[in-house]
Amino acid sequence: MKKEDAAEAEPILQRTMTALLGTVPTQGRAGAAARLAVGDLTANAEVLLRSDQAGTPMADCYNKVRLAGTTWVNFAGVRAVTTAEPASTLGGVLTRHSLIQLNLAAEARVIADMAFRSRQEVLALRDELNAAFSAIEEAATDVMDSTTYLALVRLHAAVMAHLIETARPLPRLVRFQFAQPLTTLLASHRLYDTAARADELRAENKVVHPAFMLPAGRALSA
Amino acid sequence: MSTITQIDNPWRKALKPAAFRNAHFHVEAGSRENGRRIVVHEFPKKDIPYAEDMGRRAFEFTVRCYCIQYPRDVAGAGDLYRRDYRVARDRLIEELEKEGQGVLQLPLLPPMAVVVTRYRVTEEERLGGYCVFDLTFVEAGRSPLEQVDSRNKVIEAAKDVTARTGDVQDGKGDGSKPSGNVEIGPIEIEEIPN
Repeated sequence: MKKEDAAEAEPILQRTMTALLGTVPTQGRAGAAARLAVGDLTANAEVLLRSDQAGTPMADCYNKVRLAGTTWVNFAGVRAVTTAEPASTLGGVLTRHSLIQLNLAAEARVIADMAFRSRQEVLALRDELNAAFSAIEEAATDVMDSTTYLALVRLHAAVMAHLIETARPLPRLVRFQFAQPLTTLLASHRLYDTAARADELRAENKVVHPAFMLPAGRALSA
Repeated sequence: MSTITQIDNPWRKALKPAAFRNAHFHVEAGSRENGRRIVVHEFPKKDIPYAEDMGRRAFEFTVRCYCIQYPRDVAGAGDLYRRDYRVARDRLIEELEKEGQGVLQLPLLPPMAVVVTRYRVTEEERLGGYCVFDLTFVEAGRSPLEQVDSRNKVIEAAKDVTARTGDVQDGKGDGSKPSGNVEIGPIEIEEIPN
């Protein structure tokens, strides 16, 4: 990578890695391994970028951060940081795209093992990922990188298929309206014929006190 | 004098050794049966019925095959070409009694995944060194509740993107990616002395 390209790419990489580091849990061996990898990359970022050797450590960082237990929401936050980075040189654009692609691949790996509660949750995630994938796929076509484009399209399709398969058996979130305020136990019994789901109703509707739940709210359809 | 096998026949070239899983046999007659699942609705006081198509019927195969003793043991020709026909017979019986689906290959029909619904082996006193099988197979198909392993597909695709991105960043692309010397858009690239 040329010197001026590396000069632009390095801060992008540094800021993304700082955001990534913020998502890593402070305890545990996996967290330590992730912090070590990120620290090593940030310390040698300029040298690695200039000698075109940053790709493997970057991929390693995302992998280790994922293994440390970073959630999808955190990864999405890091992606937002990287996407907001301005880049004008070839090296800067390339590095930014690489970081977003690695981020999306890590997100996909996290999503593959995620458990969802309702169909709406899955559909919201699908819409956000659709937008993220579409943008980076377009960027890959702009730089005529057909192999990366195809790999991204395959990942996009695999994630969407997985989300659709996952959403299929899940219950929907529906609205309810009682005539008067009820306790969560009674509301649970009215809705599901069991009082055992009172805590679920309390959490979903952010009920302050379980004896006084608002008459209107939302609940899972099954 | 020429023989019948010397006459060029395309179908003869397409002949394949008959087998179920890995057990081979000689085929005397093999038939494949199929059709549509039609329900005929006949209405009172009406002359015209309605034949409702409920989908394709499952393929059914009825095969009459045999194992016979060969004049000598042929090395490398499998169990079927041996002096003791019981080796091929027992092998076929073993495969027919196994649980689950297997591939049935008949000499002139395409292979298909099938399950054995019934078989009969007949040995006659007056025909020594020879046994006849009557086999019935039905198309194995697939379970309607079969789960697609979407999780593994996501993981494989994610690994692919990670590997590809790492390669591109390391300058190890396959040529479909612009190299560091190619300009994109309005960017001006010029060498800055170190």
